Amino acid sequence: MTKLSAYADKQTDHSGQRAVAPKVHPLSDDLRAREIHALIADARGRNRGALDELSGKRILAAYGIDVPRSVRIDDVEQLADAIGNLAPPLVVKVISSEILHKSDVGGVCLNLNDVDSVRQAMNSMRDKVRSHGHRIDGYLIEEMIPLAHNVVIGGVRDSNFGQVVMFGLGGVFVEVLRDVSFRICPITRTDAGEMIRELRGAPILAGARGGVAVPESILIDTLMAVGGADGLLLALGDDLRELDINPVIVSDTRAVAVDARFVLTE
Amino acid sequence: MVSSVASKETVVQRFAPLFLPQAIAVVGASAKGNAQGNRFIRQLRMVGYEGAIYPIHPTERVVDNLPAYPSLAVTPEPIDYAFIAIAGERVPDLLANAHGRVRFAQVMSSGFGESAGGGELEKTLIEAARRGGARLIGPNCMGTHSPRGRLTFVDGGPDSPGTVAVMSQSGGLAIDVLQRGRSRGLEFSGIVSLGNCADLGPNDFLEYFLADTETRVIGAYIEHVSDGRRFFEQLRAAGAKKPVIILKAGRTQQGQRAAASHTGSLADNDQIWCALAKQTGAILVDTLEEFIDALVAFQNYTPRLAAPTGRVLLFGNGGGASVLATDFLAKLGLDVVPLDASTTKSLEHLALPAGASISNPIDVPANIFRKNRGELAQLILEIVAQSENTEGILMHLNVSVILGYRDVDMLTDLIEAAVRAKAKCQGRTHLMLALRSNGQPESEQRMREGRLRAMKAGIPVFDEIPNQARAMAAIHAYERFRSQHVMALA
Repeated sequence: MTKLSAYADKQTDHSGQRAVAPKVHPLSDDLRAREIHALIADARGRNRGALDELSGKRILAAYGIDVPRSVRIDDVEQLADAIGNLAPPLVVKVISSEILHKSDVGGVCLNLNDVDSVRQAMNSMRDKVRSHGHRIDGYLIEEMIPLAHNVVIGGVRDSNFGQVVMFGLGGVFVEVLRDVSFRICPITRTDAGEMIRELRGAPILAGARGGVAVPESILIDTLMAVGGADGLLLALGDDLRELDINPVIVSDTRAVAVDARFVLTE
Repeated sequence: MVSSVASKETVVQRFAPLFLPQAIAVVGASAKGNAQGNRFIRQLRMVGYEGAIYPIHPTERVVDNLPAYPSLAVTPEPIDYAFIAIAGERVPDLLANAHGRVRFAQVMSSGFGESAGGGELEKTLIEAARRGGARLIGPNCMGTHSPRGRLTFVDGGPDSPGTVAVMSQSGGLAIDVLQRGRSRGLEFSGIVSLGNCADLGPNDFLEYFLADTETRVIGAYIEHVSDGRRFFEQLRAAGAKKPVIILKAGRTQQGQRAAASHTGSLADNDQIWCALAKQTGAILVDTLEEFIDALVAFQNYTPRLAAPTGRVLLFGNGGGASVLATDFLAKLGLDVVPLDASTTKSLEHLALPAGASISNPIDVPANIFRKNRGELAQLILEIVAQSENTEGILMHLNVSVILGYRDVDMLTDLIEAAVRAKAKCQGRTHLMLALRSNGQPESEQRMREGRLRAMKAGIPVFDEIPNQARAMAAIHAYERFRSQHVMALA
């Protein structure tokens, strides 16, 4: 039997197009807390300062944040069995605790339409990553989310004010223009709406220049799942130092967390 | 001991001995009469303090014609407030031996945490105050000003009790606020110089001023809050029931955070304080001038009943000033929009002579105000207050021009007109006045008189239109927060 994560099966159904992000947490609070604690304990046990991508996404999913359907495999041999349930185009990402920025070392490959191209991508990825001297722990194969808009949601534990949550438009907007908004947790839905509207780039999300208009409620739901009173930042509390969910791909129907970096406190 | 008492008392009762002291000990007054403590005793007498004053002195029996006592433990009655201005290293012993007989000890002495190597002494001081049972204000501060308690640390009183409370982590700035505030017509419910906040700090006084019924607006000069989370939560829980103006220093300082993420590298001090303001309705200002202007704006604040419109009206003499003001207001997100047709019609009935412009801005040259002792100004104000849904009427007068008409007292007439019109503005729009002077002594003098008269009547007065505009923007932000965050939840 192929060893693969049952990760995709744990998700709520992503095959149909959902109008809004899920409002009901897929796990009970207690189960969720236990599972999250286990993921963090595991990372700490391995002396890692951050959660791997898959663990991070498990937490996001546990808080009702949409993530791509995916499977994890250890080796290219498992590929054909593993991706049967995934709808192309697909994305392959390397899993390695030694790598901070996957794309810098050729660890991400997009837009793969069949088993052969995924296999090819994995082989060349293995060579590139190894040539950088990094160990490979496995591969994450995900359904590719069609790009509409790119946003970033983040969190920081400030030593004086506690958890704060950040929202921004992705790419150049956050990195160069620093067009971001912050709030202290827990945020209300009113706060979340203001975080979105105070960005200089807010008209882009509202559909400026013929672009896709993102319903504000989708973004607010996602922000609440991160920074609200029942959100993951307050739940992770002192375990989490910093969080980047970058990018979150948003369209008129979904907000999907495509990558996440959970940096643990020392 | 204080701690056991504290649990049964409300916060207002707990702080009453500080703001309404009946027994004051002065440590640091000399027999020669020239020390800081002597000056404090003189100030108490100047403002008519009627309670007991107990100088504490190790050797002298009489200080400033008052019987002196060798320690805080042997005064004839327990002490509400101890003013302490002796060498820093002597303070811990003094407080350790207070035997629970001192409620509040304010330590002016320096040489503690604020200076290199003073951290240990500050720890000793905190421990000593705890052992002696006193709550500590300071060290390294200036004092407490409470007109209702006839307590002050600044010359020039007595002052009328008021509604404005200020806490400051800079003593010099506390004095600035008091002295500039006086000439601006501010009246205080209390001013506390917090110093190093070794014990009591911004969170404690925020809690008190929010609860204190005398206080209607709170100003805070803050360099650092030791428990930012509590500060945020207190403000959030208060639901902007009182305006809180925060002058926060050090917002541009680079944080020490070593970031491991985009978010971490972007989350600086300024971002967090701006977030706090947006989430609590607190008003964050950048300069002392803006701080005082905001206190002036809110001192006699009456909420508008209608939802914020972002619309304001300009009225005064000075066309160029009005045009510039329109641009400035727009940058602050406030619109100077054309008047409604019905308003224009009502104004046309006044049959203003050529030279007056009755659009918005309403521009009326000074010579037109000459007739009827300012009645025209009152009529214009009343018409726009009643028929326009504006958040504020920004009235501005070029004092120097107005004083040029020497056959009439036009300045007084116009201010009285505004005072009479204010009744029609109450709850509908915020009437604010800018009295602009050219700096000549005569203008300055008349402007000061006019300003205090208008302030007494509840009309906030500013030196220039941009100051007035920023204050208007502060009121707009406050009311917008209340309508979107507080009332929306109710």
